Formats: sequence, C-alpha cells, structure tokens
Amino acid sequence: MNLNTVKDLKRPKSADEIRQWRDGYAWLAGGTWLFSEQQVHVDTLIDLHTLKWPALTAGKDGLEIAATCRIAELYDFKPPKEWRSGPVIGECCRSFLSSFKIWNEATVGGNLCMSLPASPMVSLVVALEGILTLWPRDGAPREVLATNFVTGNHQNVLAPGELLRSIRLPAEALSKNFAFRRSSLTHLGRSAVLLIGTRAPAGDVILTVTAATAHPVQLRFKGSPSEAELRDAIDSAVPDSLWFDDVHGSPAHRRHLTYHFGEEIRKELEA
Amino acid sequence: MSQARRDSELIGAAVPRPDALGKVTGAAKYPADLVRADMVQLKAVFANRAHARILSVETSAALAHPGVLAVFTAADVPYNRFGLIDDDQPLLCDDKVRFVGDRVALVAAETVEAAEAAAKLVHVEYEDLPIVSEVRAAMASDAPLVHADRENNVLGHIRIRKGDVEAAFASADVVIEEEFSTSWQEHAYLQPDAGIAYYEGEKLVVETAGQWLHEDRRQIAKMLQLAEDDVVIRYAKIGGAFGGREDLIVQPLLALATWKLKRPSALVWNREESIVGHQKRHPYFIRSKWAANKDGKIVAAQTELLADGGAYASTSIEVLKGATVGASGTYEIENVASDGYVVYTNNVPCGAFRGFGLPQAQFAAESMVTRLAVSLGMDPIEFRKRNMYREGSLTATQTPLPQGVSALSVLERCSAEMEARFRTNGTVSPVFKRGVGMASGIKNVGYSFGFPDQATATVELYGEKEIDRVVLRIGAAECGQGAHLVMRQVCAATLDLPLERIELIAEDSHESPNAGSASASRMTFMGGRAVKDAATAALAKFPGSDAKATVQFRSAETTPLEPETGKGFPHFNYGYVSQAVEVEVDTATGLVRVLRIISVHDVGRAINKQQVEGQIEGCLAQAVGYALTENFQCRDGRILTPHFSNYLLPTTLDMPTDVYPVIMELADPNGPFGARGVAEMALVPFAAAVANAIHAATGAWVTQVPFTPERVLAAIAKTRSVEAVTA
Repeated sequence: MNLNTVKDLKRPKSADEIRQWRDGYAWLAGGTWLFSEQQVHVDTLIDLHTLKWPALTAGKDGLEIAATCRIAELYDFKPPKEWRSGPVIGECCRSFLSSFKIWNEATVGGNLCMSLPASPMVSLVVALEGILTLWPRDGAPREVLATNFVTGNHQNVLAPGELLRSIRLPAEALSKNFAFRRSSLTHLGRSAVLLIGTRAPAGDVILTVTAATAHPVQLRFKGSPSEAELRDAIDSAVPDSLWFDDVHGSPAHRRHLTYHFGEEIRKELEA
Repeated sequence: MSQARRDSELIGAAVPRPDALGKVTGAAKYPADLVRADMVQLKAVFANRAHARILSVETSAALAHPGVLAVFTAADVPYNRFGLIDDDQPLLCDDKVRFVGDRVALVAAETVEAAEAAAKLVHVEYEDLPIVSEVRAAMASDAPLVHADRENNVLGHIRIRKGDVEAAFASADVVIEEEFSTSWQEHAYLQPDAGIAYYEGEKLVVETAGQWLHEDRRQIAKMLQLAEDDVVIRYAKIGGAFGGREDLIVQPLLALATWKLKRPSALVWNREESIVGHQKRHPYFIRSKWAANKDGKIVAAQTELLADGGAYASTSIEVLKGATVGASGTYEIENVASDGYVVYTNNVPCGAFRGFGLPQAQFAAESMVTRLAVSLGMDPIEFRKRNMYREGSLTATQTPLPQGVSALSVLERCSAEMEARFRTNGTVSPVFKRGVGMASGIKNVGYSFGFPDQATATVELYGEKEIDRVVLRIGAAECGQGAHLVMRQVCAATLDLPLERIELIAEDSHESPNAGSASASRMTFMGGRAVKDAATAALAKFPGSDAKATVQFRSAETTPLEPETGKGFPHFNYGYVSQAVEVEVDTATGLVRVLRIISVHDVGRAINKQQVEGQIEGCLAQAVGYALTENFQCRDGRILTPHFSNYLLPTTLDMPTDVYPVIMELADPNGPFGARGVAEMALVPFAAAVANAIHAATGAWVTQVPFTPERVLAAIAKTRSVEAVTA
C-alpha cells in the first residue's frame, strides 16, 4: 500500500551516513511489514539495499547471513554435507505465510526484527545458536546471542535506530543432528508451534520452542533427557503467562503441542 | 445450422469466458481502478465501539484541516435509514452506535491523505452502553436493547409444527439429542469495497460492485429522497460477492458526497475496513432432538435454532426462515417441530452468505441423520435412502415439493462415485487416521416465502433478412460466476446465432431492465428464462422494424408461512446435492486435512459446463474454509480477526487435489433448457460430511464449526473418556 506520510527516501552507501536517528525514520529492507498497512509515524524510509551487503558468506567457522539476505536467497543456499543441521534452513524458510512477492523480497533481518512469536527466522537463528551483530547509531557494534534478542511478542533488544547487520550461525551448531516439528492451521500458514531440537556428537540436546511462546525458549540438556525430564523442563521454563494466545491456538493447545512435538523430537534425536 | 446443432454447440459447452483474459492480466477495471486523483476522496469515520450513545460529534478541527471540503454527519442524510428488508440501519449514526463498524461521519477532501488525517480529527463524544454480545443473554427480558424502539432484541421467530413430535419420541426406538454451534464467516471477496460517484447530466451515477442494480438504486434514491430515475447504478467488474454485496456498503456514502458536493467522489476501503464494515454469515446455536425406528424410518425431528443477527436486520429474517424450514434436511419426516430465533446483538451484522442459513441448519441435520444410522447399526447411505424426499413428498411446511425432486438420484450417484473413487478408510498409523463421510443437502433456487420472484429481459433484433446483431438487455450482476456469458449463450442458442452476435448490456440500471439479484442461485434459472422468453418473442416479430421484446418471467408463486404451524409453500424450486469426503485426522494435534471430495449436483442442465464445475470447486474451497480454518471471532462486540493473517482462508495448498464435481442433468421443467441453480449447493452439506468423516476416522463427533484442532482433540478425548467409562 502507499505510505502517504513518507516524504523522503534515503539510499545510503554506508550505514554510517545515518548518524542521527529521530522519530519518523524507518529502515527499509524487504518492506513486508512497512508496506502492509498505514505507518502514520513514518516520514522517512532508509533503504538498506544500497548498502550492498553480501547476502551469505559461508566458511569453516559457519554461515554469515546479512540482515538484508532475502528469504529466497537463503532458501537457495546449499549447505555443505557436514552441516547436518543445514536442512533446518529450508524448513524454516517454508514456515512462512508468504506470497511470491514476500518470498522474493522479504529479508531474514526483517523477519527477525519483527520479532513475532511465529517468525521462523527467529526459530532458525535461535535453534542454531546464532549470534547477532547490531550496529547502534551512536556506538560501537555489539553482539547479542539470538536467544536473548527477542524479548516478547513484537519486542526485541534493539534500541531506536539500532541496525541488525548480520547473523552468524556457528559451524559447530550447524554440524549437529536436528529434528524439526511444526504445526499450522493452514499449509505454509503461520505457525502455532515450531520446535527444533539439535543433538551434539557428545549427546547434549538443545530444544528450542518458538511460536508457542511469546518469545523463544531454549532448553539445554546434558545428554538426552527422559520423557519426564523433558516435560518438567518445559513446565519450568514456560510459565502459564508465556504461552502465546491468539487465533492460531490457545495456550493450553500450544502447551499440548509442545509436549507432543518435544517428545517426538526427543525420540528422534535419541534414535 | 440447425437449432439442435446450435444448442449442442452453445448449451452445455465449455464456452471460454470473454472476461477471463482481462481479469488475469489486470486489464479489467474493478471499482478501485476507476478512482482518479481529481475526485473528492472520502474517508468514513468508524465507531470502533460496540454500543454507545453519541453525545456530540465535533467536526470543526477536521473541517479546518487543509484540503478538507466537508464532513458529513447524520444531519446531512435526508432519510437516514436503509436496509434490504427493514430500514433499521443509519447511513451515519445519529443517536447511538450499535457495532464497531457503524459509521459516524464521512470526510470529503481533495486528497486521500487529507481525508485520512481529517478523519482522525473528528471528535465524537460517547457514553458507553452495556454491550449485548451473546445471543441467549440478548433474549433475556431484562437485556439492554440494541434498538430502543423495540420491545426486545428478538428480531424474528419462525415456528414450524407438523405432526406430534412428543408422541413420536415416546414410541421411537432411538432418540438422540445434541447441541451444535457454527461461527461467523467472512465473505472475503478478493476485491474490497470501493467505488466512485459522479453526475452525468442530471443523473447521479454510482459505479461500484453489487448484486442487484435496481435494489441499490431504490435504497439510495430513498435515502437521498430522489426519484429512482434520477439515480443510476453501474457495476464495474465485481471481484466476488457471495451474498456480501446484497446489502449496501460504500454505495450510499459515495452517493451522499457527490449529491452534496456536486463533484465526483471516490472511496476505497482497505481489507480491515471491509471486514469490519460489512455483514457476515450468521453464527447459529442449534439444539436437535431426532428419533428413528429400527426399520430405518426417521419419525421425528425437533430443532431449536438461535441466530446472532448482529446490530442490524439485513436479511436475517429470511435467512432464519430458510434455516428453520431446512432444519429437517432433505427428508420426509412425519413429525417436525422447529423454532428459529434471530436476535439483535452488538456484534457485526449478519446477512446473506452463500447457502443462506442452510449450511448451519443442515450441518446439524446431517450430523443427526448419520448418528441415527450409526445408532441403529445401519449404513448411513441406506438410511438416507429410506427417508429422502421423493416426488410428491410433503416437506416440514406440509406442502409437496415442486416437481423435479432428484434428491434420491443424486444420493445414489454419490454412492456409486464413492464406490469407484474412495477405497481407503481407516488407520494410516497409530496417530494419523482416515475416514470417509458423506452428507446430502437441499437448497432453494430463487426468492421465497411469498416474495415474488421475477426477472425481466429485453431482446432487440437488427437486420434485414437475417439477424445481423442482437442487443440483449438484462440488469444482472456478473460477480465472477459467469452469469453474463450464460445469458448470451441462452440468447444465442434460442435465436440459433453465433455467440459473437449477441451484444449484452447488463451493468447499468438505466439501460437494462431489472432481473433481480445475483443471489439465491437464481440468475441462470430466472434471468436465463427471461432471456429465452424475450428472445423467442422478439424472433416471432422478425423480420420487421420492431423486432424487439421485453419479457418478465415470473416464477411459480410461493407463500408466507402460517405463524403457528409454518404451513405454506416456501420455495418454488430446489437444487439437490450429495457429497462425500475423505479426511485424515492427526489424533495427536487435532489437525484435519481433507484429502478427497466428491460433490454431486443435479443442475438440470449445465449451460456452461466449465463454469458449473468452477462454481462447484470455488464453493468447495469456501466450504473447506468454513469447516476447518475460518474461525471468525468477536469478543464483547470487537472483531478479533480483521486481517487475513488471523482470519485464515484456505489457499490452494489446503485444497485437496482430488476434487470430483459430478454434474447430473435431470432437466427442470421450468428452467431455461432445463437448468436449475448451482451456486450455493456445495456449501450446504459440506461441514456435516467432514464431521461424519472425522467420526468415521476417530469415533468422535465434532459439533462446533469450524473444526479447529482444539475442538477435534476435545471431541476425541470425550470419546475416549466415554469408552473408558463404558469399558
């Protein structure tokens, strides 16, 4: 839709050109959210495409994903075979309610910064132990663990004007075994729950719960938990108030699905 | 070319849609495409509260905003009431607001930006009133009144009595009771509400999308106190309607602004405004008690139906009549007692929607029929056959069905198709279970309950010895269903001419006669018959300088229902449908997927076979949404699902690839070339067919539409607990 309140479009070659941040500014990546409805408080768009960040950089240390990397670009990425969790990337890309336009324009960073419970890029980077690089407007870059980035429904740690530059997925996390479960009321629709489990060669298990909760919850186990241990860990980590409640599922249903898929993942990783 | 040959080429053929290319390439002009920047841009100010008294409307700040031309309020509307049946809805609210989508003011400005900014500056002072949001509470004698001039909130009560249900229950072998509920459904037409208005000479023209040119004109003329002839309604391309455009939506707002300012005006609603601002399918609460004997005969059906009509009457009372008459399904039952109520609340108003009350009523009826069959240990199809309407059957209203009762033939064909196509039924894994269910349905074609149904068409023939050109005039809305091509096909076949020679004028209330609404599955039957008769009459005058005929086709008369018994002749024509579906139920998550659908319809004669199949398949997509994903929610009058991100329409990926529309052609004696209607029928039994399939897969009966995973899981858990107790 037309954003009638926008008066200016900036196309910086470097993020440093935007030193002073003020109300009314908005970073523009894929525009999925910005152009979906009126943004009456926005008068200036700052286009990130002109920064020309390389979308994906794969190396022995892992995968660096630019915030401006499009979902379609990420989906096309072919991870090396030794990255046994590589297929999680495709699974998360397919966990979108996305039209052709969204698929080809929406960005990884945009989805992360929206910080919705069902944002599948949040699921991806949290499960694969990502580290986010943030560029404040008035200070040095800082790194944040993906588990700490999203703090609630539509809430995150970004300060006003702070820019998400990139996400690094460590090779160690990418090399783990994984199991993926998701439930949605419609095919390719918004997730009601999205769970990803990973298992290190030494046997340690990480279970990441997203979509079911207002922010991601990550459970870490030394070795493989028993069914009871897993359920206890879920109950301890997710208070009643954290289960998300919307038309895609009630808190009780989401808890039920989390138990169910968590147990399936536990068994699959044990096998 | 012989008449028979022309018929075979034109009638029943899959003649390509002439409007298809423009629609898929974007060349077609929908209402929003008509907007020009130099038009006055409008913005409606919504109430955004469910029930409140208006203390004051302050417009000075909005009027002072640069670019604002006017801010209209209730005082600007000469007759500030409208409605298809009851004039109970204000165009702009004066004393109070009754639902969140009520409009309080209309801002007119030089630009969209100015209109939107000024709309925020309209200050309305409200005194909140108690919200009536639940049907049973709304019926209480001490409930706050939604309309202060009424004695209570009950908008209508329909009562049907045939035989003696209590005596039948007392002697029956099996008696089953159950409660059902259904939710609202949003029409979700692709093209949100939009339009323009302008003056053409002395005539006020409103160009939008709708379903009935001449009724739109009547209501707008009445509101502005103009002669009907001074108002012209034109339809641009219409991006779907499904009953949702039967009521006026943005049309009178456009007319008001242009009438007051004498300038062209434009209004385009976004999706949220459209969802909040127009009426929905009624939610129903249904209590059923049915009985049968061991010989497989249904002996009694007792039903109470409570419908949430929302804040305004719309067509609620007619929908209720249809639902109450249809509550005993497609079956001849000796003892019937039905009470239907529709109630005002402060929820979104409800009105016409594909199926017109029957998807709700027959969800309950068809669920009960399958339950009785299961209780008696009978095959549900065989059980239906023993009770199904036949030629001469008496309905619940104690009158015979109109001639051409094909319900049994349709059921038998469905049974045969199931044998041929559905081979799996049972457990796929311990968690995923499959089942097949079926249901039958009946839906009237055309207007009912004494409201006269008539359609008028004019055919003009031009040429010396041969007909060179034909002008066909019929005011029939093309909502995407293909009515215009059907009218031309009927005309061409009647005149034995190539289709290209038929010029159609159908989208202008001044240039084409009144064919009635594109609703009630009636346009092919009624409009097509008027075209056929007009073409025949014109042909009789050809050659000649006045080879022209205007014919009004009138259906057989129907009657109102007697208040105490419901006795009467409600409908002059019916369509019959039987469906079978195969579902897969994830018993761990409650998720249900429809895998295959068979939908068998007696359409009388398929004028355009491809379009009939398209109607069935499109209707099934809407039915899948209704049964499974479209969970429209209101709380305290507020709409919780005003976006497509939370009101979940099925996409192509949610539709099964195996969809078999089966067309039977058992010619109707009155329809053009034998045609009946087909537009709504696929929605009528579908939810019940899915519910019955879920039962076949899991043993659980689901009673609340839509069948969300949580409801399915709860039903499965209830079944398991009953089994545990029984064991």
